[in-house]
Amino acid sequence: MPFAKHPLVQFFTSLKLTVVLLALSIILVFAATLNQVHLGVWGVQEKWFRSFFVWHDFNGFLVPVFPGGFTIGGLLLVNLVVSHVYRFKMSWKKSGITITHAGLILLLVGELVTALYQEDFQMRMDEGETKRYSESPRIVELAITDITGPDWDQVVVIPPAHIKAPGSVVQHPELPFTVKAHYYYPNSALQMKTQAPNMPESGADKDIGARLAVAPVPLTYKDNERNLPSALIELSGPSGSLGKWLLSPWLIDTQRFDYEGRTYEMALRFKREYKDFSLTLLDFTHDRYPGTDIPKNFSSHLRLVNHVTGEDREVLVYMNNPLRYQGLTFFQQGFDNNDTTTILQVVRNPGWMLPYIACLMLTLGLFVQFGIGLYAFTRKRKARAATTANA
Amino acid sequence: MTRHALSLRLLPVLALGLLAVAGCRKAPIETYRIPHEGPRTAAANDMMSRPVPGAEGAPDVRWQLPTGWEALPDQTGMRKGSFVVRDAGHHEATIAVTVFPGDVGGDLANINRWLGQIQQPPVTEADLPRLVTELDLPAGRFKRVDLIGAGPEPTNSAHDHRMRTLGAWHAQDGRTWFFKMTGDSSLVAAQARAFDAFLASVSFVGDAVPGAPAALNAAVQPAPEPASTPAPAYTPAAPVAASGELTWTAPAGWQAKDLGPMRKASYTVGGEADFSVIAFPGEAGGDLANINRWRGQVQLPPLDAAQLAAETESVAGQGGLTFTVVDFAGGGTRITGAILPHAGQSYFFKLTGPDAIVAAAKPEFLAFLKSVTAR
Repeated sequence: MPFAKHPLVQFFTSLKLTVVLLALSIILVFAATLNQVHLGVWGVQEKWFRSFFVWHDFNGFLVPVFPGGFTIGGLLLVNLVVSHVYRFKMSWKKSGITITHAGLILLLVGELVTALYQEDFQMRMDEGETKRYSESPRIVELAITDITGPDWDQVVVIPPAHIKAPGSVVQHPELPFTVKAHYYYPNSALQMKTQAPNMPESGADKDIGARLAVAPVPLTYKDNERNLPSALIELSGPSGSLGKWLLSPWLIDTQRFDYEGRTYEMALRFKREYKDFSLTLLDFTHDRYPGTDIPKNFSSHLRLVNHVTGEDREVLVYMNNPLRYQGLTFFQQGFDNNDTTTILQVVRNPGWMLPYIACLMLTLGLFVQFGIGLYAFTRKRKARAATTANA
Repeated sequence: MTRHALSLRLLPVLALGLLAVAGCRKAPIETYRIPHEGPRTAAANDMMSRPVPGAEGAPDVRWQLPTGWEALPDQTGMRKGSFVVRDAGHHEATIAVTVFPGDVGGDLANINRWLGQIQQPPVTEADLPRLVTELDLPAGRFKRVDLIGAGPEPTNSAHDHRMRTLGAWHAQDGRTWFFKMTGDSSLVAAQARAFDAFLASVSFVGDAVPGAPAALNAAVQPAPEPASTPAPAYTPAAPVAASGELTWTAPAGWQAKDLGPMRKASYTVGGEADFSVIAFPGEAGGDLANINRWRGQVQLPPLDAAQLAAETESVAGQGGLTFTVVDFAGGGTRITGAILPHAGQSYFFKLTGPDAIVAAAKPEFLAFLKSVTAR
C-alpha cells in the first residue's frame, strides 16, 4: 500500500478533519470567552488555550471535557502541513492558495512559539531603588545562593517541577548537599503556630519555619490574585541531615545558613531574570485630570546603566511609549505606594514578528489568487469577444 | 515510493512531534553568578517586621493617630505608615509616611514633584520662602508646605474638589522623613489641624529628643468636624485577600491594622479588643473543635457535641449565608465568634478582648456579619 493511502495519512489530510477542527475552535473560543468572567484572562489562557485538554472538576475528579487549544491548533497545523505534502499539487494556478496556507501555518507556529517561549515578567521599583532583575508574577523557583564570595554570589535555581513530588531529591554539582522536598503546596496559607494551634505544623526545625503552621489552599486563577506556594526542604550532607526549612514567597527574608565554611541563602521566590543592565527609578509621576481622581498619565523616569558597555542614559516610560532594550519591552503597567512605586511589565516574545509576517503572507496569497482568477477571467472574456467578432 | 522519499515526507510530522515534546520538557536547573546586591542585613526573619530597603538603620517611628484616620495595611518598601481619612461625602485623603536615604534632591525638587502630582507648574528657589513654613516640634525641626492643585476655585461655600497636598519633611541622620496628606481640598483643609497634631506626636524610638514633652502619648485633639458632615456609619472594608470569596464593611471606629499572613481582615475595636477574619480550607476540624479551642483560650472547659446547640446561635446573613455565633467569657476575657462555611472554606470571625469592651461591641460585630456578602 502506498504511504499516501495509509489510513493515518488519509485521516490527517481529510477536509472533514479541517471542518471539524474549525468548528471546535469556534466552540472553544466562545466557551472560553464566557468562562473569562470567572477565571480572568490568565486563567482562561491556561485552562482553555495553553493546554491539551480542558479539564473540569466533578466532585474532586478531574475529567477532560473538551480538546484544548494545543490539541486543536496542533491538529490543524498537522492537517495543513500533511495535506500540502500528500494532497495538494503545486502549480502556478494555485500559488496564491499555497502562500495563504503558508501564512496560516506561520500564524499557528507563531502562536505555539509565543505559548512556549514568551516571557511576561515584572519590575517593581520604589523611587530611588535600583534593580538588575525582573520577576515573574506567577512562576516561582527555589533559589540557593552561595554568598560567601566578596563580590559575587553563585546562584542555583531549581524549578518547582523538580520538587513537586513528595520525597523528590535534587543533587547538583554546584551544591555540596542534596535537596529533598518533603512537600510542595502550589498555593498555601501560613500562620504563626501560637495563633493557629489546630493548623498542621510546618515540620521545619530551622529558622522562622519552626514557628509556623502551614496549610494547602486551592489554586487561584484570578487576575488579581497569586498562588503563594510553600515547601518543606531538607538538606543533607555526607554526615546526615542539616535540617528542615520551610520556604515560601510568604516569607520576606531569605533564610541563611552556614555549611563547610560557606554561607548560603535559600528562598522560594518569584522567578527572577537577571540582566546585564540595571534600572533606577528616579521619579514616578501620576497625573490626574484636574479636580478628579481619573488618571491622565503615568510615567516612570528611569536611569539605565549597562554594566557591559558602560552605556548610561535616562529614559522615560509612559503609556504607549515603552522602553525597548535587548529584546525586552518595558511597559508602564501600574503603580503603588501613593505614587512612589512603579510597576513595569517586562515582555520578551521571540515570535512577536511572526503574526505580522503571517498576516502579510495571507494578504499577499489572497491578492495573488484573486489576481490569477481575474487574469484568467479577462483572458477568457477577451477570447470570447474575439470569437464573437470573428463570427 | 522509495524508502528515502518516504522518510522525507515523514519529516514535517516528526519535526512537529519533536516540537511538542520540547514544549513539555521539565524546566532545567540553572546556575548563574550575580554581583552582590546591596548591604546585607542579619537574617532577622520575623513575619511582623518588614525591611525598608534604602532606609536600613532608620529608627522606628511612633505617632498618635488622630481620630477618624484609618490605617492601611501597606507598610512596604520605604513606606512607614499609610492612612486614609474620609468625610460623609465619601471624599477621601490619604496620608503617607515615607523615609528615603539622603535629601532626595532637596526641598525644591521635592516640592516640584508634589506640585507636578497636582498639575501645578514647578516653582523656583525664590518661591520657597513664601511656600515653606518651618515648625519646631518635639521630634525636631520640620518643614511644611500647603499646595493646592489646578482647577476652578469654588464659589461661596461650595465643596472644593481641587487636589490639595499638605506635606512636611524632617531631615534626620542622613535620611529624610516625608509626611504627606493628599486628597480633596475641602477635606484636607478640615484635617489640617489633625495633620499638624499628628506631626507634633511623631517621635523616633532610639533617637533622643531633648525637651520632648512628657505627655507625648496624650490623646491628640482631632480637627473639629463640620456639623454638617457626621462620620459615615460604615467605611469600606479592607480588600478580601487571596482565595477570598466574601466582601464586607467594617463599622466606623474600627481601626484597621496589619493583616499578617493569614488574616483576611484585622481591626482594633474599642482600643483594646482584636477582631480578625481567618479562612481555612474545608471544615478545618469542624465547629465543635474550633469552638472548644476558643473556649480553651478563655479558660473554659470544652463542650461535648450534645451541649453545642445550646451554646451557639444561628444568625442569618445576606444572600442565604448562615453564621454559627458563640459568645462566652472567662477570666475577664470575652470571645464573640462566628463560623461560616462558604465555597469550600471555613471563615472564622472572632472578636476577643476585655469582657466589657467585647460585650459593648457585640452589636457592631453582628452588624459586621450582616454586611458580609458572597461575591
